[in-house]
Amino acid sequence: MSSKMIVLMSSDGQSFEVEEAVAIQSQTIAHMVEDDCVADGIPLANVESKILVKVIEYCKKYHVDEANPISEEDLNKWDEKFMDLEQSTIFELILAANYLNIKSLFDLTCQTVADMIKGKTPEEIRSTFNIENDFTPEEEEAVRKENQWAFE
Amino acid sequence: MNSHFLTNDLILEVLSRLPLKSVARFHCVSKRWASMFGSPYFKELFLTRSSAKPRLLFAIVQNGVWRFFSSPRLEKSSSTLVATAEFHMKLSPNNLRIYHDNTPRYFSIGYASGLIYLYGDRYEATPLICNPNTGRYTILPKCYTYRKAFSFFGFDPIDKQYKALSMIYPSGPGHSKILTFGDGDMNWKKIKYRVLHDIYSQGICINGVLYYLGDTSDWDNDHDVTSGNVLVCFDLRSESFTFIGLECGQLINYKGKLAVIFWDDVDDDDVKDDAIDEMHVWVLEDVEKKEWSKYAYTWTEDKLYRSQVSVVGMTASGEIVFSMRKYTSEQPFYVYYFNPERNNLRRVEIQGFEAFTKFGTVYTFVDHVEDLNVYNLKHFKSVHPPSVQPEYDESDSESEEDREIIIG
Repeated sequence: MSSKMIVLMSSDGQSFEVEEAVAIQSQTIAHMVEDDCVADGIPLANVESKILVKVIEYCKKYHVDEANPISEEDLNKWDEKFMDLEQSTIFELILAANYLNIKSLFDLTCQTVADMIKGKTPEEIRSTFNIENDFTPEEEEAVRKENQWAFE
Repeated sequence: MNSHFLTNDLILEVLSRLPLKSVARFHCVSKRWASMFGSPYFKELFLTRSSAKPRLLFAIVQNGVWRFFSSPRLEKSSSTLVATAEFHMKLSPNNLRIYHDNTPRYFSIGYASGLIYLYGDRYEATPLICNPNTGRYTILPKCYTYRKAFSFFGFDPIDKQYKALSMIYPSGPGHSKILTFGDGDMNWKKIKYRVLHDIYSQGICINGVLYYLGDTSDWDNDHDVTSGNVLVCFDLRSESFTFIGLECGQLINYKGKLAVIFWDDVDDDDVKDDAIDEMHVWVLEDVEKKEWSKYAYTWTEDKLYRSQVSVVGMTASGEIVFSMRKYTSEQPFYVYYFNPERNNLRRVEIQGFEAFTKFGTVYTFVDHVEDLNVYNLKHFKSVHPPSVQPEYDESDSESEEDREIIIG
């Protein structure tokens, strides 16, 4: 039994052939399939090939059926290995999962970043997110004091 | 796209998945972040995320000193055998000790939506509400109670208010009262009710209704009231009571409904077998109609001993959770999960207490969430007044006429 294939095209011009059943884990793609506008392939202007490869890898793993009868526990273990990536790549995956509307990937990537930053100091956070500190030293000290317990 | 610059809404999605401690620390990152964390939108998002992954909260008391720990709840798909509990705080402000007792008459403990309520020694009259994650607490205004008094704590999700209920022993002086805990002033307000009852258990609050076990036998209530052992249901919003006949059992939150768990030989005075390998679960499907769904389970391996464990709740995937009643550093501390579909029991050892305490009595709550709404409550920011002995207030004495009035 042949499965229906569709073509996804990255922002940098690469094409990827994917089973429709796997691809429609993306709500965005699912809607396009319903509206029947996928004949010439789906252009994903916001997703680079490097990131699209990872998204497709995720969707394939999470398409659970007789051919891929993976357990929830094994999926959780696989998630850990899959997320062993550079922080900038994970940020790009968040953007892609958001654009493509893949809820489980979005949850996973956001939670991964949250876990990476949860132990950081305010100074480190500013540097991670390019934020300027607009508190005066006195104001910052007052806010720190109010939340003193969180620094212990 | 080269820049990995996340848009604001995506940054909020990431931040909403942080633990409360990190959010608190990051308040001083910038003014914009501080204001973002204080916005109603973010606070709701944060609570939604936390409610999707509730934690186990362990309250361990030793000689009147309380320590709070939490650990992930570990749903069915987990094969973890050991989990580490994170220590949050020790509660013993200014040498205030809150002595625990097995009798509800002398000690009350309640948990609702992120906060713990403790009311120990009545004579000291210091009921308090604390946030077990942050260490902030507030001592409630004094509430005169004479010897026997019982109290409960809950959260009304519709009006979004916490309430504490103080119930007096019907034959004693004083009045039953209710206090609303929010951003406004705190006062104990008298409540009137017509069905007199004795009280036998701690309370549990589920979806704005407080449940506890009582007994109406000793009083001359109206004929339409069930006489005997009852399940008392107090609706926090309407402040009204419903009584349902029920012998006894342990009360838990069963996926948003009340369930009672008990064992077969519960009527025997002389309980021969401490080991339990079967249980009855009755789920209250409808409070108004007083309808129950009844289940019974047995299992063959791994017995549990009722003197050692109590049933504390249920996971989202339907496992019933038991936790040990006492902790001692000389033995492992276990939480047990019973799977009713497979009739098997798995256990997880909880580590992390030993660095902070060597022994104590343990109260476990299975639906612990972190909530920014309570974090900012003004009462948690003020310094509490020193404890003062409450005096007997003339206005607290009640007359027979008071008892007769029925609230509408």
